[in-house]
Amino acid sequence: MARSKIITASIGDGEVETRNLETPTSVTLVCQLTNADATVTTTSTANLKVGMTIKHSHVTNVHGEGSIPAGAEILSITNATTFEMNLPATAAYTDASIQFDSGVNTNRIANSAITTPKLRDHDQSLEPLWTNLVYTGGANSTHRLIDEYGTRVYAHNGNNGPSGIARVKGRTGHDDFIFAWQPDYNWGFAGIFMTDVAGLPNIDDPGAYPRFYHTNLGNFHQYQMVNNSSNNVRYITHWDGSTNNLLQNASPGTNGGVWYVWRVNGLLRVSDTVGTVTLQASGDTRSYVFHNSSQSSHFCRIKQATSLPRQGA
Amino acid sequence: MSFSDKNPAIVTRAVTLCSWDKAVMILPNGSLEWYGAEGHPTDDEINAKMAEAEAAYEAQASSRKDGNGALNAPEEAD
Repeated sequence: MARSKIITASIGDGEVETRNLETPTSVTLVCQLTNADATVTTTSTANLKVGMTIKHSHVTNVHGEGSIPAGAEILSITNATTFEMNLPATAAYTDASIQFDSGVNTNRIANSAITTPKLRDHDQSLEPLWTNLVYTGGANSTHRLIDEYGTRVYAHNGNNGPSGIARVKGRTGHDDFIFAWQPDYNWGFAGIFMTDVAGLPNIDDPGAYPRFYHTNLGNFHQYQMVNNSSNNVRYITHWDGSTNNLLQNASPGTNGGVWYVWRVNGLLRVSDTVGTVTLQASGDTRSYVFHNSSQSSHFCRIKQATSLPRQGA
Repeated sequence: MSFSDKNPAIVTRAVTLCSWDKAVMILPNGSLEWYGAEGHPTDDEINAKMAEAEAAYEAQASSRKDGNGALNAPEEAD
């Protein structure tokens, strides 16, 4: 049936089921194109289908760049070695590497539609890099705030002076992880907030995640793990979805020590170099994101950020 | 009393003028977070020092290239 035959039909809500979506396929072929001609010759059309989208391939060496117009599709298959595009070629090539895609493919997805939660798990894994910086306390572009190749967020700008809040790239995922950091030992509280990503409306929007603890989180969980010299304390709190619980407020603070929080098989714990605090004894599978405590004067240096499969060790 | 519309650096200066040198933060609801410390000044005591704190903040800010009036802020390099 030609694609233009049905022109007024509508599909009811829920009628398009996942199982009925066309299974995506990709085929790469070397093709011969003639400028201003929609006819294409290739080695075999056996794996091609009408409606496949056509674009230059970056899977193999790129030849024939500029010969495929935007929006090109297979209009019809003529024979075993020839097919027609819906648009004429824009340049002539004898060995253009062309990719043909069917099903839901990148040509049918808007550029801004791929948000962080849609990425593959591996691409969402933790990385030791401060991202999504937002100014606080009147900071502006005159303040550097992030240095050491992106691994330290830094604001020594006076007590509650200009500062910034940033997010560690990625998220823990639902399995095991280790995150280690070195908090400053200064007037401001230095360290991290660890927040259930499910409680954040849009982690791609830097202004959307909480800038302080236990705010706008509703039923979701957040931990604050920070260090301070003016109060001389190691300070850990837990917003459990309804109440903020003080898990630790102990002296002295750590001066240069590396803290780390980790999860193994649902057991979530944190070490502040002096001792270990159990944050959740079992069953924790939340995916967390990290952002820094932003109170000047402070810094927070990432030492390790690793998402792991559940290994039970 | 809410401090939500106040400059945190000025509030911190006011707190310091009340002889409290430990960390304090303004929470989104306008109250002050003392991180469990006891003996801190009251809201009224802080408020009474706000004018003096703001004057000190402005004096420092206007004398510096970076306009930073926060207490203990180091001078920025030229």
